[in-house]
Amino acid sequence: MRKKLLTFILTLALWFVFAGHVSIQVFFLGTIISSFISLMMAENLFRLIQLKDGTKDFPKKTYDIFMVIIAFIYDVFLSAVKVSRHAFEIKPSFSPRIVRIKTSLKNSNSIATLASFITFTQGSLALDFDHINNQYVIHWIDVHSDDEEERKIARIRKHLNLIAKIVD
Amino acid sequence: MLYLILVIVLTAILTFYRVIKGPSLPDRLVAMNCIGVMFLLVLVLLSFYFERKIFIDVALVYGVFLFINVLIMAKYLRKPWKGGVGD
Amino acid sequence: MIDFILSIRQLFVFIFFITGIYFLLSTAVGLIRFPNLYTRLHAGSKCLMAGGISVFMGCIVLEGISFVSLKLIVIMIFLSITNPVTIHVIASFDNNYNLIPKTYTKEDFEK
Repeated sequence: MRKKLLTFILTLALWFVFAGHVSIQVFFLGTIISSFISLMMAENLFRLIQLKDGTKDFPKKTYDIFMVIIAFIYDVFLSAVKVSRHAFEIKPSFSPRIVRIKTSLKNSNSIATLASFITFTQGSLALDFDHINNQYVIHWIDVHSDDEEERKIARIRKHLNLIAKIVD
Repeated sequence: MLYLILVIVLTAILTFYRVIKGPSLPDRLVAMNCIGVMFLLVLVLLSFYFERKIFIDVALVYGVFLFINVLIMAKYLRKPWKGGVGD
Repeated sequence: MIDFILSIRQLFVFIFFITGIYFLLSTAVGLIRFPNLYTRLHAGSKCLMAGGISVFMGCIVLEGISFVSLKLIVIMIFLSITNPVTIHVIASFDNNYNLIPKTYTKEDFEK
């Protein structure tokens, strides 16, 4: 019941955003359509997103979700500055390398979420996922020695722990 | 505002060099994706320049179709798996 | 006082648009100058997304609080979800990684 109510409120808010103005006709048409959607598709929608421990401690989790969004935007701008500095050099210099990282995540949706996070951290790009050994295949843009590789792997592990708090 | 639109169109023309010359097929796909997002930004800025709000809806639907377009091209143009059906 | 707030808003719009132009130009230059496919993917994912986010933020500050800015936020969230998916699909385009120059890692020596 709670899932259906949450789906109803979210789809009605999205309907008002797309409609562009608030009037009584828009409200009636929106309630009809979003009630259909919430009655038919609520179970399928919440099967895709699996939060840890259900929706029990939701106000404690909003802080974690907020921290994830802040880390996302910060990483996008920092890594974009790094790549654009490579682009305007006189001779572009790279030392690419392929690294494998093990994960402890089991669910396929959380694996896909973390892959899009790896794409936006500094200088890394997720190429593929190995389902047998639970390993990501990651392409780094600048790794000069083995010490630097260890430090950069530790930076990804921080993101992995941050996501493992929210998604199971 | 007009100069901003002209600069973004200039970057799209610069990116089009990679679509013509690109040695392999995924290079052309990446450049095509970049040109699509740049013209989405041009649509949003044109709606502010002409002061018509309806162009933003056009930009939204354009973004959805761009995503599906690139996904289907990448699915049907890739090499078959080794030992797969088309090998 | 109102003039002061208006000038502050103009300044923020100017800063956001300048950073957006810088990142989009670096995307085009990077796509032309980088040597192989996977480094071009780096330019096509990060610089493009940073430029798009900053241009959208400039439009939101220019518009103020209305339904138009809510629509812009919806487009921004949609782009930032779907762009890594397309980059990841293109990156797994070729099954065997022939395109990468061979630089050996530590795990290759252990095999």
